[in-house]
Amino acid sequence: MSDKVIALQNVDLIYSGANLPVKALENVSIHAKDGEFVSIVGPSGCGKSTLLKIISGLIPHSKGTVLVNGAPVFGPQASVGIVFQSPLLMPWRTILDNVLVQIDMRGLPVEKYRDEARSLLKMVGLSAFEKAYPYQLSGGMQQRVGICRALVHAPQLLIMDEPFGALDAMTREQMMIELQRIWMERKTTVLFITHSLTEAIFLSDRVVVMGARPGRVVGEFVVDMARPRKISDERSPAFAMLADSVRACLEESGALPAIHSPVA
Amino acid sequence: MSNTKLSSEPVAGLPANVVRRDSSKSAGRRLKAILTPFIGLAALLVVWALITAVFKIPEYLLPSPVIVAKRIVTDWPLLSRNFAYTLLEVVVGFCVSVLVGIPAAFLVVLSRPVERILMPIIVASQAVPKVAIAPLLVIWLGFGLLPKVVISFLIAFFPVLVSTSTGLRSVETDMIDLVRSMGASTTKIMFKVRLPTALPQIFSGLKVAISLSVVGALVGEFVGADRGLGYIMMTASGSLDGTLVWATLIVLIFLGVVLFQIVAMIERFAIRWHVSVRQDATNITTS
Repeated sequence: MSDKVIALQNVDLIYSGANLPVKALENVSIHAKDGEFVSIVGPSGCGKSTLLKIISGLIPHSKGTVLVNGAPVFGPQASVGIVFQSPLLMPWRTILDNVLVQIDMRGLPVEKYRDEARSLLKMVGLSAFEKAYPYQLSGGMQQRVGICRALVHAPQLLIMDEPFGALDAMTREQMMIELQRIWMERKTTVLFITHSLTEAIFLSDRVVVMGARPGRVVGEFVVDMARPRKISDERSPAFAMLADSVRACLEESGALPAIHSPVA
Repeated sequence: MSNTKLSSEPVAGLPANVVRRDSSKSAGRRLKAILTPFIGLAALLVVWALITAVFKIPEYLLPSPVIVAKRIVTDWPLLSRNFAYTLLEVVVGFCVSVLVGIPAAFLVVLSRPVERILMPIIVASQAVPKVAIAPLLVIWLGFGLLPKVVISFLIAFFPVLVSTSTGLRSVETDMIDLVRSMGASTTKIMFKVRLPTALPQIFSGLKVAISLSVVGALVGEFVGADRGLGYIMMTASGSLDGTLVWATLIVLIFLGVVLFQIVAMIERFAIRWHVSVRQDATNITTS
């Protein structure tokens, strides 16, 4: 188990709602090896975001075991960085200081991480913006700052919750390429939550498919394609076949009505 | 690759660009910004002067602005002394409102029980017309500074409390989740996330509060006082000295406007980053 950066075993989560308890997750087992890129795809309501909250220690699970770096999760994790769908930058802080929010909130010495924050901004091409304020950046640039913030304390696990969901299609493609490059450079384990099959397959070593109500794992696919992958690979037969299988899996679980359209 | 894409845009100069714009242009713009409000004011005075001249309105009903201005000059010692006194009442009342209102909002936001106990009392206190209890306060607290400060506080405190507590609550849940996942404590979240987020709303509360503080002090002076601009207005109208009433009123308006502008200036400095304040709200790139 110890080579697993993250290991969820038979995890249940029951929300005790006002009227009757709601089962949000049922018997979920997900794991990721060190340096692995794992995507979780599923329809809305499949508990993807709940999963994120459990792993990051924001809410307790009801049953099963949740291990991060081999240790059970109680409360916030030292070695986890999170990227949400919205960049969640603080408008009163400069870009550099926004990256350092991670350090500040954790009570670590901000001075010691300044250089690391700068080199991360350089990696995503935002060096010139370190003194700018969030409103001066486009959505894609803001999300890059969010990624830098999630990486600045050198976490072993990066959790991304639909990080490109709010971006336009062009920026999204650009960000996929960029995330792949960052991941290949840093070899951080990534848990990538999305409902875009394209993003999931393009980026991942492994795609975990979840079904809804209750949230459960309904399938798992290994993506065996050479890296670095290119946007044009999306049109390759291997990519299309895999997308079809994932889609079929989602359809079987009742998550998707059987529709006949190319990969979204 | 984003590196090349970004450097092809005029990016390197951006931060400098944003911090200090072309100074000659901005000086002209600043002058214009300062002068513009006076155009409206001047127009108002001209209309006022014309009305008094054309309709030959008697001085005790509506004196012309020229007469009022002369009166301000001749009675300046009286007006300035009472201006200072009213200013003191307003500033103290406002400061007490802020010093009580903001911490009260923190308490209300941090603790449900405190909110449940405090809010009904506070809301009820707002339903009571201050003018109605002003005589009571004079009976209790005398004719001095204290009752004016108390009335001023009672009126001005509510907008501070309401805007601050609304502001402190208006942090996105995802933002709270994000910083909690970083292990931030409730106190840290309060001061480093909630408070800065709330600043724009706090300042709109403060702007309402400073205007209401003036009203409060004046109500206090109307009910029972032996000095202050409100007292001068009461005695002047008692002796049918319309010109002095107007002169005092102009000084009072000046007081209100200056105090409001001071709060607005502090706001512009404190929340430079906010949409409502920044002049340079353009998106630099649109990638």
